[in-house]
Amino acid sequence: MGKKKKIENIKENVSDALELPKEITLNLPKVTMVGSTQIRIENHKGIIEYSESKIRVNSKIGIIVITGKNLFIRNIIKEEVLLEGKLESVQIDG
Amino acid sequence: MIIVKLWHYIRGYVIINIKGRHLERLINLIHHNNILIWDIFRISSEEISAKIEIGDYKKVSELSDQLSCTIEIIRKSGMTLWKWRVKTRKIFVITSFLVLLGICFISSLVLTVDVMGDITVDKNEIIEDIASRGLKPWKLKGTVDIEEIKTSFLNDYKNFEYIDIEFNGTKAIIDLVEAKKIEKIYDKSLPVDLIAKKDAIIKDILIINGTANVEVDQEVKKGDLLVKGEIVTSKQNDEGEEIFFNQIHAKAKVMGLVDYTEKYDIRKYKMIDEDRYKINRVIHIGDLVINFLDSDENYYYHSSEEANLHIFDFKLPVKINKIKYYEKENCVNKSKEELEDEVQEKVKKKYREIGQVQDIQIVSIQEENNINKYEVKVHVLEEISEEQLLD
Repeated sequence: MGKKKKIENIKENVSDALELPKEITLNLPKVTMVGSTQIRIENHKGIIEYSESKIRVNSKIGIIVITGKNLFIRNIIKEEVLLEGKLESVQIDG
Repeated sequence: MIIVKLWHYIRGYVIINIKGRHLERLINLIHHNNILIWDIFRISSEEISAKIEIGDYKKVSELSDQLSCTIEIIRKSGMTLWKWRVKTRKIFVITSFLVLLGICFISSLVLTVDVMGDITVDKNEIIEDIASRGLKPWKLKGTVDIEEIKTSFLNDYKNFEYIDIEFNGTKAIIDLVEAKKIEKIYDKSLPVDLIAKKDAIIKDILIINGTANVEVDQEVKKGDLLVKGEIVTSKQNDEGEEIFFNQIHAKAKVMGLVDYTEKYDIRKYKMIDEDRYKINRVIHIGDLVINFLDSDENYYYHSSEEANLHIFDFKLPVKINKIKYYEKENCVNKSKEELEDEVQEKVKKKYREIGQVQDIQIVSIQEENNINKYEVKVHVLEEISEEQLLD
């Protein structure tokens, strides 16, 4: 566990030093919101919960909880998930 | 996004309903298996709807079986389903094919013939003539020999110098250019005679250059020599008098009385109240005539206006004839003087630019329904000379 964390630290330092995007080097989720109607989550690890008012998406940093109204999954592929609806909040449960 | 939708449409997709307890797991499993799934809507706590490609349906079905979920196709959509639709809707396909065939056939026909160009000849007369040569409505465009029509038309109608026929959709457009009557005027340095351009009786001659060949009150035919472009001079020398004939550019004003015969149709009645009229519209669809007026016994026909129906630039073979009628009660007969005045007015209007109208004689009157057909003889005093180059 300690070794893994060490490697992660090195990766972070390298990407900081070389200004490389962390979502690629560290496989961190990238969350992009378009207004309050669309949210794109890259590097996700699958859907945990899906309802019209709440969607929970697993990621490396924890569960991303999106709440809102009339939520639906517009598109889901291995690298990204695109959610639409009336977004109210985005929360990360570490 | 439209590109993605179009892509899905081309590939073909199905809208499915999935029921079960582990729907989130199924979604994860689907995309982990590289199966495209989109537009996922939650219907109830145990039901979702989504779209998948037709080819992936079998795989999704297997995966849902693994998670004890049931899958149901709601609708199939996309281009790949056309083949299936065509098989199941034979009548629709046959009808569509026949309609397409009909459109192709109709568009290969000539439906209307139009004459363009500023011409003095009646355009309907031209259309009838062209029809007799093979170009008429409901004729296949491919069977019309345009070059033959153009050549034969120009041979028969010497007063036209150019004709062009082109097809614009189902419309045949005849473009005509009338040959202009150009009076030959030669340079003043060239010797010319003056000849009569019309049959006439000479009434006045004023010669500026040349020798008169005619006298006042003499009757001349078209082409007769009026003023000779020649003067005779004599010179006295040792051997006696020598005569010289010099050719010159003749110049004169020769006024002649020319007879014309004209025919006019004059309406026998006049309206008491011009604003009291009735409009009747007669619809012509090909040879079919639809007339809404039951009887016109109590009315005088007055005028008619024809209009073709168009869709944008496309002229339909439907004509609406707008006919104006006046009630007989609203009309009174014109007096003989009034009718004759009308004839005289028409004559004067026509000959105003040619010359002076000296006399109008009514030769005959034919009564036909509500119209008097007048034949009149008009005597016009006008310039009758034209130049002819000397050899």
